[in-house]
Amino acid sequence: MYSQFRLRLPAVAVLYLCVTISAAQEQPVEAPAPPVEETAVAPQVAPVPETAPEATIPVETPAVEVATPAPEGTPAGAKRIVMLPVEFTVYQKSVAGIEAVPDWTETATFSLGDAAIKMLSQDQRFQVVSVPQFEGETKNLLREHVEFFKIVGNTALSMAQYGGKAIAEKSTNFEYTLRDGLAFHGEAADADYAFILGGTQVTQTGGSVFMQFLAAAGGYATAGGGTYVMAGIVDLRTGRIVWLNSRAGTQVFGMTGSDIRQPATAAEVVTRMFEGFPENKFFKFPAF
Amino acid sequence: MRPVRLAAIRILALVFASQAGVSGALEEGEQRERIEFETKKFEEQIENSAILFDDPELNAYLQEVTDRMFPEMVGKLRVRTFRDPEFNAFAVATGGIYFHTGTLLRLDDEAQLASGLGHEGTHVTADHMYRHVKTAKSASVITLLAGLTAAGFGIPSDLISIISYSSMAGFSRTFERESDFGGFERMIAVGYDARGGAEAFARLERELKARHIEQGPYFFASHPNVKDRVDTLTEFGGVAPRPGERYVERYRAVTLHARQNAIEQIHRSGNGKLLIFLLEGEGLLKTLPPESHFYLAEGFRLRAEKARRDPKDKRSEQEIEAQRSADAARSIEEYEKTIAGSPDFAPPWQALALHLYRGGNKPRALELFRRYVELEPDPKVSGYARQYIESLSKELEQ
Amino acid sequence: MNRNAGRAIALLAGIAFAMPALAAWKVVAEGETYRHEKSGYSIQYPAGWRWIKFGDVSLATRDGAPIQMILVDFRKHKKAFRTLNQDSTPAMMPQELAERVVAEATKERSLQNVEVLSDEPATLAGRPGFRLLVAYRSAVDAGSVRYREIVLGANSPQGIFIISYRAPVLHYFERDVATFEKSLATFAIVDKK
Repeated sequence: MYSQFRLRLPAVAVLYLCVTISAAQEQPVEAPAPPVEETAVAPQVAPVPETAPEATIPVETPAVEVATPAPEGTPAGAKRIVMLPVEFTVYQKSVAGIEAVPDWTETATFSLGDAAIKMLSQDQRFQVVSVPQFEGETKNLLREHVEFFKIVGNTALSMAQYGGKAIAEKSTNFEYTLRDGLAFHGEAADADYAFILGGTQVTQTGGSVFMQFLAAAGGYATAGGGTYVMAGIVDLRTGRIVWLNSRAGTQVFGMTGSDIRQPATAAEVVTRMFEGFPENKFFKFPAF
Repeated sequence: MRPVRLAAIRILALVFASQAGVSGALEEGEQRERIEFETKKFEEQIENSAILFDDPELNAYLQEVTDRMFPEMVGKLRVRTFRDPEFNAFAVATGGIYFHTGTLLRLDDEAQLASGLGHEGTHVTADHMYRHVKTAKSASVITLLAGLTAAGFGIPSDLISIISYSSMAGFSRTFERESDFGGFERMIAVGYDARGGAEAFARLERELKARHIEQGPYFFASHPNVKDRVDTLTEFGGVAPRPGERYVERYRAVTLHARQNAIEQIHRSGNGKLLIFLLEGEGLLKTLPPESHFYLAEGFRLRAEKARRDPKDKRSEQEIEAQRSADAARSIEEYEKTIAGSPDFAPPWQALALHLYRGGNKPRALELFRRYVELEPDPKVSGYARQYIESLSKELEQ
Repeated sequence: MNRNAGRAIALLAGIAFAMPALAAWKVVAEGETYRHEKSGYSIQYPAGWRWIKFGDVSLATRDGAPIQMILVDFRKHKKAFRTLNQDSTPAMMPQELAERVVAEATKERSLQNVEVLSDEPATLAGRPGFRLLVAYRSAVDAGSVRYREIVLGANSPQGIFIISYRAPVLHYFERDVATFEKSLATFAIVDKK
């Protein structure tokens, strides 16, 4: 309340700064990326089971229709994981402003969700199960926990990236949690973990690129576009975040490699997020 | 940078910008999809927030009034009460109408309400959201070109916003008149008093003036001049506007909780001036339960206590000081009136006690604090009063 | 469309409350007392938490400011309540200060539904003060997540001292409130330099 108000103005200014810092520190995801099938994956990978084909998966929520029964060959002891609907929005930045673009969002959401399901399905430690449908208060509780996850996850990631030495021990002693408020979801889905994936992409139009160019020529640095993807795995019984990662790529003068609308790029992004799983450049998570 | 190179960049800029504007234009279907997508997301977020005023009876009432005026839109226009004490309302492309508790507070009857709902509903039926975005996009290209021109060819940059703003204001004026007329026709078609709309906007005009708020980023940011709208709505009614239904009692009964909530919010935000304007200046006090007199008293107290001078206040220091003294005296008078009219309503007892305590009349203050605690036994609410009672008791015993 | 721009940029940055994350955090050592010489207060932030200072404000967090935060502020009387365009005065009683703090929060429109759960007298560093417990939600487009905040304040001849603790209702508020109370007990008003 009080403090939030007091922090607001400087925080807005710093947000812009962060975009710049993020651009400086992050390696943009390169494109074109090879299709996910050609990408190296973790050593535990089993033969790729055929997950639901595109036609049977609603684009908005690729995870919903994934078959509940374990695919043939899923080893005993594989953790049951439910993939929550992907929340990814693609915006177009033009000279007139920024607008969300529904068909791009739909395509990117599907590409990202599909890539993630394939990735999880290939990993013998997991068995992907369907998302149960909730209504009323329970639905609202789930929604609040997803929003809560975004706060906790983004805080953990930003502290890891920008928190300096004082925060360093968090990377090896990761203890962020949502607590047990999602246990109902685990029971309903008969699942151990939830996989949460989302993010944003801002794509520049020619006019926007031009404006950026013009500003740069005049000595002003302005934000371009870019892509931010965050993913996490939450233990549904304890609420502990057992894995968390993000990738960011910036678009400068319209040049970018991280167009999630492209299935190959989405797959590449997901693959890179899972590289070295469960460890990543931010955190060293214990093995599953 | 050398002047020739700079000029070259600027000329190039104009060429690119004009191209960008043309290539940025979307097909109608695509633009509509974008608006709908974003609006649905917004409505979902609103639905999950605590910003809607949870009063099913009130929402049903607002819906009923709307459905009467827009029979062809039943099920498409959805009205919700929005928890906000400002004089405002808005409609979104997907048919949602969000009516502020603050507007309900400022309206007198169902005819005025119908005028507001008719206005917002017409924004939806007249497709203003799509038309506005389309226009705004064109305007932004104009802005860009104007900006570049200003930067490159010596036009003062101060004018850029005016160029842009005047274009936008022009477009919006058309839409608002359309909505005013559409709303007016709808309300009289179902038998409401034709004067409702002009009355509501006249009240808005008085409030803008009293609050020193200029036309602009306040009520319906791009609306035309409020005075013009009062005139227009009066004109719609003709020389002898047709009298019609007002349903004053029904309106007051169903909207009571929302109106009280708006007053409480204004009080909590410390805006004494607005409390006085609305409750006394606009006579809203008579539409609220007797204990609401307390908020008028609080209005005078808050205005008297306001420490810093409003930069828009043109009065002399002496005049301001005189008003502060008068306000302080008036607040006491109003607390006493509240107590006389609603003796079991706790807050004025404490407020008066505090005033006496500050003024040094400690025995009387102690009495009033004690009465307050009797009426408000919850220590989480009456903690300060308990503390005063303890300290005053000790002090007076000594 | 500006609203979208802000949201998209925030998401791109991946941080909702960037400033504390960016600045140079320091780990609070066991028994370490932090003194804000200029503003005239000292406090022992919880050991193992991270703290930082900017201007008259210092804050500490265990996991990151949006998750939990103890914040101490000293405001000079002049323009103490900027949002309200109001000063405070040395004569103001705790109840009046609390009223202003609530008014300021209510006026901050990005917070929804600020609800005062309790407003009681308290002592802060031995001075008579107020203690508020408030509930609110984050902005609509920031997910409407429920937060709680405890705010304490006390007056002094030079200005007002305010110390607050806030966290999401889900899990963190209850988990760290006892830690905050321990830290609060160490808060002291000291001579300014």
